Amino acid sequence: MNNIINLLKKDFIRFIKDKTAVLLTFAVPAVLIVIFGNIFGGSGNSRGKLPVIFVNESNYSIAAKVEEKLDSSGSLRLVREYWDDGRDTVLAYDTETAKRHIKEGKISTALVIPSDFMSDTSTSIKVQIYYDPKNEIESSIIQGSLQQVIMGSIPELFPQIMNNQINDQIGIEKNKEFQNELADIISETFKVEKDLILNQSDSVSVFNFGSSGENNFINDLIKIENIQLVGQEVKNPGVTRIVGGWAMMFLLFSLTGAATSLFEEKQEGSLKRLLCMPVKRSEIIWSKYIFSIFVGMLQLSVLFLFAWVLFDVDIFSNFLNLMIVILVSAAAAVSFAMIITATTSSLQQANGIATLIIMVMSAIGGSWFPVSFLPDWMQVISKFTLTYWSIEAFLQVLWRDGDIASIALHLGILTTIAVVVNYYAILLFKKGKIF
Amino acid sequence: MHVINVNNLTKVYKARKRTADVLALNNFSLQVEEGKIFGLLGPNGAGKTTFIKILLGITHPTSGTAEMLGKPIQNYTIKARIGYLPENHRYPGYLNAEQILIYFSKLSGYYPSDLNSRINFLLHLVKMEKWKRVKIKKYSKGMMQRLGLALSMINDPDVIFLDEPTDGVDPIGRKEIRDVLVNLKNEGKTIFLNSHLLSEVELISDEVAILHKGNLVQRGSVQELTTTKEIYEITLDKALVMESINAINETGIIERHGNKYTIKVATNEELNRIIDELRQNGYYFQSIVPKKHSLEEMFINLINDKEKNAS
Repeated sequence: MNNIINLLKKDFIRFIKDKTAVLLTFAVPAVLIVIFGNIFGGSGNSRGKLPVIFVNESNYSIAAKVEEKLDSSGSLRLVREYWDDGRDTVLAYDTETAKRHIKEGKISTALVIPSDFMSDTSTSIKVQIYYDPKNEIESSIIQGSLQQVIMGSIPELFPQIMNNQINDQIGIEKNKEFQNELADIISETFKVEKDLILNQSDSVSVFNFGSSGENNFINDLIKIENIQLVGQEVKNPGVTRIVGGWAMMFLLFSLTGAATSLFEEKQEGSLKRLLCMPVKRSEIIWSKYIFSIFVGMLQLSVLFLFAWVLFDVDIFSNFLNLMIVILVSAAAAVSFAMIITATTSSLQQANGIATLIIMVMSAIGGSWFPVSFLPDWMQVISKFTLTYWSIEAFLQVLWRDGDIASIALHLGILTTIAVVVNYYAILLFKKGKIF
Repeated sequence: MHVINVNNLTKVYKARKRTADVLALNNFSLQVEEGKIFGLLGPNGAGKTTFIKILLGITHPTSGTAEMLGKPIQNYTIKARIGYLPENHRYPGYLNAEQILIYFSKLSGYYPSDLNSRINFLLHLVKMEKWKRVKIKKYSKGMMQRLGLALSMINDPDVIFLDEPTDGVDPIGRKEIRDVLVNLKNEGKTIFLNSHLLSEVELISDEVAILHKGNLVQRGSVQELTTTKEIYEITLDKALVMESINAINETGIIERHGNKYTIKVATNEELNRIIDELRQNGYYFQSIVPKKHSLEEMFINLINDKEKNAS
């Protein structure tokens, strides 16, 4: 028994002394639980509201009511205005601008209540949803929420629309005749005045929804026109959406491995050997940097080639821009790996910290699910991750077939990350922490 | 010419708490002449490795200046004229000796037209020619040392730093390595040796310096450091009758083996008085030689004295 106690003691001490093991055991899961909890938590309040452009071209009072209900929705945030290109004037969205912004990837969905939303003779109401299904789950949620709000919160629309439908199908006179006969029967049976029955505004509530024909019936009443603006020609939308995100996550892992190989070289003595040769430290660092970028480019290229061969993801129609994004993403990812190597003091420490940061960046940067699922404060943080900008750039190129101008901002931010972070890493390397 | 010229070199390894800072070298000055084998000795943690690391640009000094081959050590181009065998060195196991030698030759800017011949020559020198194209992962520790020695010479350097060069090498191999080093010295190369095997150092070093807690505590030729001026071994023609020799009785005999005696004297005058008295009493001297310590004995005594003084 003493032996077991002593051996247990040894294992506990080893575990506690291994900071990387402690970090991976507790910190990484804890951080991920916080992120997932915020997204899929029961309250639903913590998750960020999904942004939807809202354009109301109808003067009908019911349209205003729809807008009011959508505004109070827990899952949607209506965006009605935008900054003009000079960013000095706020303008109200119109349908054309909404469509343009969706095509440019600034937002994924717009709800338009058109001018012919409803009239006194309408047999149904009409709304239009313009969308970019770059994130399938996000699109489904937005469309589902819109339909739920529209259908579930305005029952007062139904009597009038249904009456209009009956008038349309059997004629106004026959409808009146039918309603009179029905009122007579009800009046006689339940001893109620006939005028009272005829003036009941919700007389159609006799139609009890819930039968198997409900969906078709409601769909006849509310015409939701879903118009996909982007990605119709994408051959394999599912894989095209996710390939960039997953590629970035694995790129970060592999490049961290490439950069932290400096620690392995230090341990095996070959780094010391190199330092004794007539080479500058900066040359050692730069060669590692260039090598890692090469590995990163190769890895991304192979992953995209796999996606093309196995899933028919179209990587060649916008190949040059794709390669530019690959290059800049790899450079930014290498700078991340270099700063990890420069700021840590051992391979184990570097791997532990890198794993934590990569998991967090992947979760909040959009590798695993759309960024719009995150709480608002996390969405702000996600824009400080290179994962976010890389994934957006990949989507722009693969999904939207974007030109160089459309990815200029993404490239600029990724390049800035690569230059600034790598410059700082080189400064730290020169101070000799790893050497 | 001084191949190595170091003045007031200090290296402090900073810790988070200032009180935990480690003073690895303390105003250390040293000059090493060209064409010598120089041994740097010291107990673990004395600062030997730090000193070599500073000279080779692996770490930077906190203060002080250092030159090699007449140029400041910050000038990285001088490394093209330097060879180095690190302690516990390893190389990728999937390479062979020839590939490693070619790689480091190129990295050191050494591109002779007959590089292949030089590689063959060096591998022959360290008795590794048969292993030229065998992957390094199959090498024993002794073979790795031999390869390391060949590597340290690949760029035909003027100065060679060797950190525990005979570590893991069998006695015959150690003798062969010693011969290689002596030959290099005869070619005019300077060899800077860092080893715990003091008997090895003693056998081949011209000069030795001893570091203790970052300070230079002793320096000189092996002859100077191992020769004691107070203890002599005298051999007489017959055994002593002690009562008749006053001077010896006063001084005391440390050891006796037949008619061979080890005596300790405080001064030269005292030694001469003993000689005179013995001769007057009819004793003839067959030999009188100053007693030599081994380098190891000298080193242990010196370090023990320093520790005692410190406490």
